[in-house]
Amino acid sequence: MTTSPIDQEELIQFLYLCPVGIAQIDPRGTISLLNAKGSQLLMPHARRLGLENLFDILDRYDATLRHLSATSEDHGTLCEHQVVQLESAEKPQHLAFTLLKTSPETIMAVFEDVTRVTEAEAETRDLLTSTAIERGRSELAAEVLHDIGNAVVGIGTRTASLLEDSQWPELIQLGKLGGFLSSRSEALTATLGEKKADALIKLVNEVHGSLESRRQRTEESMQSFTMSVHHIQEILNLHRHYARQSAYAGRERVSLKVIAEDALTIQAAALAKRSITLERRFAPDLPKLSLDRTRMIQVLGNLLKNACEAFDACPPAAGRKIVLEIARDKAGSGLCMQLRDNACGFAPERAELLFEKDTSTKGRGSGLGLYHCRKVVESHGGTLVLQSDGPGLGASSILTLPNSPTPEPDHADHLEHENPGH
Amino acid sequence: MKFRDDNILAMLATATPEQLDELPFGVVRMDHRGVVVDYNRFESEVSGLPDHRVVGKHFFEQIAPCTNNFLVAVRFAEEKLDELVDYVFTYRMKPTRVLLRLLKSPGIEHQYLLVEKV
Repeated sequence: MTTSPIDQEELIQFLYLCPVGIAQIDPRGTISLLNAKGSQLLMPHARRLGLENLFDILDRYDATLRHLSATSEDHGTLCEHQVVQLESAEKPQHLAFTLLKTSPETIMAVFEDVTRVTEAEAETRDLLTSTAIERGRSELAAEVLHDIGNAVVGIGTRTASLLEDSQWPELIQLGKLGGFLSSRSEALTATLGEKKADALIKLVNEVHGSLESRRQRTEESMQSFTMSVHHIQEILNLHRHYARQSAYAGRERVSLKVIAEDALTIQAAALAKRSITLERRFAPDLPKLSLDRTRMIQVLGNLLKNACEAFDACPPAAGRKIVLEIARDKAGSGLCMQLRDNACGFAPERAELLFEKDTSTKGRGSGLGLYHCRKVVESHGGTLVLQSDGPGLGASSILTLPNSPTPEPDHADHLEHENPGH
Repeated sequence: MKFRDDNILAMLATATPEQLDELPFGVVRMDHRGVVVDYNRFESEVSGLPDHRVVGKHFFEQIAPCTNNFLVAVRFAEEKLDELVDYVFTYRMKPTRVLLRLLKSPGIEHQYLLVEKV
């Protein structure tokens, strides 16, 4: 078949403008044909070398292609989508090469920039790794929580039994003895003399009074202890519930208020320890959202924990306060949650730095850092930002979550808890 | 007019298309978006592209994508530019060493890419 000059010109333009790099090389890498995209991709790395030899350009990054091309085979595919990482001033560039040997002295090279795809793959890999780690942690946590739970049940049972025995029959008998001696004081005086009789009655009554007040203190302590054990059991149940859930985490329509309340229960001790007043400002009739409740309670718990710990950097002061506000977002379909504290705050320009991986404001790692919190929120299509007017001026965490098409009014908030149980 | 003349931009700014055609090096006259206004004879002959196929098109994207990187195209984002760049063009699929001169100035309506074969 013959081709007219116009067809040849079109063919050249077609190859020239083809949006992937195309080169014809010999087995030593010498370039005989190269299209525009090829030049665009290689030139920044070739510089003074020019575009005479493909392997001379690539060798300082990766000599794989040179080695693959040294094959004694006459023809055939030498590699497919072989990625070469080329360093550049800004960030590494990844080019994927396919080499097809068409004759002993001719190799067709097709290559494209796969930097974005490679970065996206790396991000996905990171996410999968962190998800796997998170899942492993959850499973471990569930086991540990189960064991601790069993131990706490033992403590609770023993405490309850001690409370049942809190009347101390010996003390009752001692009280009766005191009463008996008082009622027989005349006979005692006749036998022992007034001084000794009074001293004996006084001694018995004082011992009884002293023991009775100790018994009451012990009983109060036991009651307080019992309440603490109950509280620990509640927290353990919540944690266990969410730890177990995360092994098969999924989305369900759930109230953000319920998640917030659960996070608050878990962080109750952190709030109480620092004498922080919590103010809830929940708007009525908020829609339920499609959320991964396990992950979201971790996010809210982490934001609360950070807010609590921010007070540790402040001088002790009265009026420590956290305001937790949940309202509809500006569009009216999604939700906006704000967590404001009047703690130490931070310089406004540091806000984004706090989200960087492995960054901690406290100099130590936390279970779910802000980096992961934001990842979780973003996986729900939402946003998470931190704001502060400056050091000493408090800080806010602002979380927005969009809604999927059919919002359901939030009428059954507190019916959502299933019995955590064993 | 010579490729390395110091005041070449001022001369190019007043040159007619016919005068550009007389030059012994390639001249691509573009507006500040990169759309070709004039494509001189030398460049047309070397690239094999008649000027009517080039004028009105975006040079870095439609005519010479080989220059669409930070070495050449991105440089034209600068307000003032007079830079020599060793480069390789792929005229009709054949890698060809060239010397480029990138020219741009705030007071001048067009930007220019000059091409000298090495």
